[in-house]
Amino acid sequence: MIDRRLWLKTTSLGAGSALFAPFLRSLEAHAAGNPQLLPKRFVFIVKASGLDKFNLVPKGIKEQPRLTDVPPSGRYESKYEKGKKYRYYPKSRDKLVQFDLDGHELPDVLKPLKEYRDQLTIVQGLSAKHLKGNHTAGYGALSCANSELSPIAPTVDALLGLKHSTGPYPMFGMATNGTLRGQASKPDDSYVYPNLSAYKAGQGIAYQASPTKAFNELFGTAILSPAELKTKNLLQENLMDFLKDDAKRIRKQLSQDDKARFDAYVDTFESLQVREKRKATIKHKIKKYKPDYKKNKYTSMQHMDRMESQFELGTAALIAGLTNVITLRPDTLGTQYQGLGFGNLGLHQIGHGATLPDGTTAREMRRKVDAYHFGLIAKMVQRLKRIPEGDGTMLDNTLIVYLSCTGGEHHGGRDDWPVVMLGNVDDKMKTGQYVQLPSYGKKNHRTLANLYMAIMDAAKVSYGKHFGQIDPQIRDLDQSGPLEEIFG
Amino acid sequence: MVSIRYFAVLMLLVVGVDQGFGQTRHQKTTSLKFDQFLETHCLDCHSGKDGEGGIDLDQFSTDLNSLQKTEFATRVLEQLEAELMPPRDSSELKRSERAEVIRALRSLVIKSPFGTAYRKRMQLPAFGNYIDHDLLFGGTIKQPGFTYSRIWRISPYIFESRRRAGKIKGLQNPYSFSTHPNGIRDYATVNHVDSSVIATIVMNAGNEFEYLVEQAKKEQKNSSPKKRRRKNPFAPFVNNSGAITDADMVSVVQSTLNRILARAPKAAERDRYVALLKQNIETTKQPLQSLRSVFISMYVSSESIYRFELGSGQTDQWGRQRLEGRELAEALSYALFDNSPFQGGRTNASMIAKALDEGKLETREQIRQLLTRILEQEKFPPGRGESTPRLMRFFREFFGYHRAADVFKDNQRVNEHGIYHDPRQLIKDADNLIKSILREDKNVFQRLLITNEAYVFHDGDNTAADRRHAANIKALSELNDEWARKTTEKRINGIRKKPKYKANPKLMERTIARIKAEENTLVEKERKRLEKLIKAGPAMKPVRSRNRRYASAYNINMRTWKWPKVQPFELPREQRAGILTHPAWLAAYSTNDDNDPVHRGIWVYEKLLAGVVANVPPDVDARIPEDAKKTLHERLQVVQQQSCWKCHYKINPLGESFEMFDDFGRFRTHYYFDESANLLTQTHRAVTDEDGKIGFRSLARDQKVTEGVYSKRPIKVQSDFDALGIPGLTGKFDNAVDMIHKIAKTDRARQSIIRHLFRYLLGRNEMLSDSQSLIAADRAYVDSGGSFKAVVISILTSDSFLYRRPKPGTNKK
Repeated sequence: MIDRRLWLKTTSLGAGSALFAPFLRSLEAHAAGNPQLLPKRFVFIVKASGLDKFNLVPKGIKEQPRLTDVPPSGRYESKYEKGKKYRYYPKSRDKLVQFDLDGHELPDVLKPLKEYRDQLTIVQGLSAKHLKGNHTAGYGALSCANSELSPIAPTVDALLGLKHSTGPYPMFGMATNGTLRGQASKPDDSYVYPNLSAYKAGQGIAYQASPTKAFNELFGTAILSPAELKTKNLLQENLMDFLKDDAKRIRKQLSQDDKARFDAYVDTFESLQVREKRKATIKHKIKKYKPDYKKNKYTSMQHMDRMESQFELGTAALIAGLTNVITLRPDTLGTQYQGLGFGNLGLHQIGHGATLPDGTTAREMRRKVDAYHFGLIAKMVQRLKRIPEGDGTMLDNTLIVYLSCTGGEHHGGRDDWPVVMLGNVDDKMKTGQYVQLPSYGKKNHRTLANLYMAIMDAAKVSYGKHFGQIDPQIRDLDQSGPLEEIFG
Repeated sequence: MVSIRYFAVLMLLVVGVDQGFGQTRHQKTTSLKFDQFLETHCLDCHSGKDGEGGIDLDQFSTDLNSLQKTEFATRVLEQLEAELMPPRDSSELKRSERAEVIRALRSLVIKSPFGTAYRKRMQLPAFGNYIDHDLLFGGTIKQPGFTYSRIWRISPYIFESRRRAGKIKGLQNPYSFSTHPNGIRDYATVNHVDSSVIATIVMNAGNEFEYLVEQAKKEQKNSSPKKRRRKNPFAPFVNNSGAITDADMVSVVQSTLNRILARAPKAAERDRYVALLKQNIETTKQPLQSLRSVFISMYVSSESIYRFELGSGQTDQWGRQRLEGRELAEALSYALFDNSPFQGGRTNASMIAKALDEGKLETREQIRQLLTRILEQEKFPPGRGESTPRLMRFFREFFGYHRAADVFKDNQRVNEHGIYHDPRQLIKDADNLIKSILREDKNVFQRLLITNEAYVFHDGDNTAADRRHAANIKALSELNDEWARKTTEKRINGIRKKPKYKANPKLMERTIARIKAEENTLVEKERKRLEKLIKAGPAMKPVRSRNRRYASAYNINMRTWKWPKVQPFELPREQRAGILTHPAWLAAYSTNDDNDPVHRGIWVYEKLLAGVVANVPPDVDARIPEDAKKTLHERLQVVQQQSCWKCHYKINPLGESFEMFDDFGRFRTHYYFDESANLLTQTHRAVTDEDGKIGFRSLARDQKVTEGVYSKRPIKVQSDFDALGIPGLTGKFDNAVDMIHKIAKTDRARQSIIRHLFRYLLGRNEMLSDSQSLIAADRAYVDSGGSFKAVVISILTSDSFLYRRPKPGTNKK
């Protein structure tokens, strides 16, 4: 039990104090013993190069992808699977298709999650066609506002984090590389901007690309002995006093506009200090759930080792209460899945139909990539399920959202943007179901923004009538409000 | 009928001189006068509850005492600024009249306590052109220039330069620009510091500190007694033996500050850090940890992150103070270089520090002489050797051709166009062309816009190919077993040093064995390579068919082309006119699979004609409809509907004139249509040979047109300038080349480039008070026969650059 009085005493900081509001709310919730007020956690996993919609349809149903001998008139993938049968996904759909996953065999890529089929939600046919961008909708993917490279609106993960995170970080992002395009044969090794998350317009969020640095930043406090911690705090205080004095001296000479910018710089120190203090207060939890430092894996320059590290550290950060929202960027177009036997082929080449010498087609490789990601999600789920919380486990209060930053294809594909979710928010969502919406422009078609609004509704995060910008091309359709289909 | 009389009255009432963004000193503009303006131009449509677009201008008030009223006035102002209202076809409002009413209304909005959002917006790069061009260069504004006192976060380039100076490897650059990638990046008011910047700096500091400690420890162990006497300032802290003296502290602070700020610290600065170090040691009794904390504080201090331009000295009658001493020296240095003049060592920037020491930065004339000396040394050599790196960077940021590499072109499509698209080489070619013009420094802006010369696949140095050829001949003559032995030894040593092999001894062993085995065949292999190169003759690289295909971006026939050793050479005058017709620029302003006439048009309108284009309204679907049978020009007809055309009339005729090129930058004359009358979007098609190998064969379009299979239509992009209303720019133009030639002759184009250079060097948008500085820069250019250097010197010695004025409300003590 955390001593709230001690907490308040140690954190009476002007600008930083606003950061504590959710934390205090959480303490109240725990104190009141109200299960509805248990923490809500969110994990966003945003892959590159599109998420193939063909692979997400359960087997044995009427609308499943068919294997045909001739290319059908809709979407087909003959280009990539020469000499093989065509895999068909209906392009034009008038009706909503919705059914329980129970009783249906999961598609191959989702097999790693078969134990959790009752908690899965597969949503197909959402759109965000107004989002432009080169191989990615960038910030638009999570904000539904058309801006690839500069944040012009808050993103859904950041909003959820600001509302629900009770730990030192409103949200924490990890990526293998910052730049989406380019020959990223090696992962990056420091903070990067993958152009995915933003607290507000103009305030993009940096992701940590180095697992070692993420480990030190998240769990470093727990490694220190009490004496070391004391020294650290003393030095930190001296440093803060010094910097504040320095800032005061300069601030006097600045104009109002510059003062505001300079204050943001000074506030940064305060928020870092607040962050450290928050960490100190949950030190026992950090220590308890800290993963072992795996030098070989965390310093490896192989992309797949980095991905596994991301999932591991992210899960541990959620469990330790360091944040309630994790956003992961497991790959970019330069990523090499050597562990899957693709050699030096980058994801970009695979997206453009490269084949392996043994005849493995690009589509097969893409399926393997998706299945690999779902395998990592399965491990994350297993860990969350082992941690008791309230009357159930931590998984009951976690929602994992898996999607691509560019929709349903390597290029384009923003008229049909598949999303796979696992978990729930306050038990408000009807899980274990497959939802396929009428296609783009048809009556009752819904957008990616509607899904985000549904998640925010469930999480009691307020938004206006719309989230992000509406798609003007389908302005005649109702784009407001949450996607009702995912509620029970 | 208005309004001339009305505006005469209005202008008389706008008394005094402008400050900042055009606000007036006296706000005598009465609501009555605005009422007259609205009555004449607006109320016919926007009156009462049923006003068009739901706008009721009866509610308009100049008394902006509430947020609602200010926001309403801002909306009206935005419509006037973007020339959206009054509508062109129904109004007789003259440009000068519009400028005056904007000026008056802007003054009210900026001064309103609720006008902060508008004021901040006007500081953004995208709003630079909102200050009326004719007012800026008209000469009616006599107020001397100044810049508001400010802080300026350092740029990623400055960080890089410090990293190089400190010879520090492996540090992450924490800074990035928040400004739009298309345009001038380093704006004092825009780029900011957030927690990820600070966290990265702290991480950097920690890494570097550990590196320095390791170095000190190694030195202690290994160095000779003589070296050990030359004390490492970290030694007393690393040794952990004996008391640390004040002298030790001063020494370590001095050396680390020097390293981090890349300059000698001021005494007061040094003393503050020594005091912090003392305090740390006293409270923790742990010298090394204490030093670490001080080291971090140096990295995150405001001095390390910001540049200060506050002004000092006497305040003059205009409320200005001149930049003096170190502030002046740093401002000059950062305008031209990426480093501080006080970095030490022999840098180009150190000339400024030297002049300051010798008291030769006192007068404007002395500054001019210093700048002249510095710029005389700038020869704009090929490659990266510029002595003033920021000046060349201006042209990249202004034209934006360097973003060609960011526009992705699908390989399949590239092959289907029979081209080798190498945007990086295109960018180098464009750099070389610009540098060759800068070296001559005559009629620079005009030549950049109209030259039909080009560098194609060239070093930019006409002797390089011969030198390389001679070196190859020499190398061939020196091939022998001894060479093979030495080369093998060198390769093995290289392998032994690489961390990748160090970490994996088996791999190292295998690789070394392979290298040794290759020694016997090494001479033969190298001989073949060199002979091939020598046979090809002096060239930039072996000119292979792929490289030849690269030249087709310039419409050079790859079968008959002989690579010219001496460049630049002339391309057909009717096909190319300067950077805007360079394949690098055309590719940079294209989409993944087509031209981008809208952004090309916006570029020309904003960057050469100083025009204002409003942002796309949020409810507009800014996509071009798809239709396989129509050309891009035909598909763009959709913007001719009234709601779109009120903006697009400014940009589409300009941008569509570039349809004479494809999106790889190749000149073309016709659109081709296939047997189904679909527009042909490729020139080659994939064919698979018997072995299953895929190749690309020309579609032989012209032959098929002759055979009657395909059809073609000439590309017609004729338009006229008349609708734009730019002084001195009227009549028709036939295509982009003709358009650029006509624009390049205007004062407007030259002055517009000077405005952008001014923004680049000062890191801010112009204000009306910069009028005299801009006019002087323009005059310097004209009087010097079009010297770029003369414009730079004029701007850097202008009042706008040299003087600072506190913003109202600053409590400067």
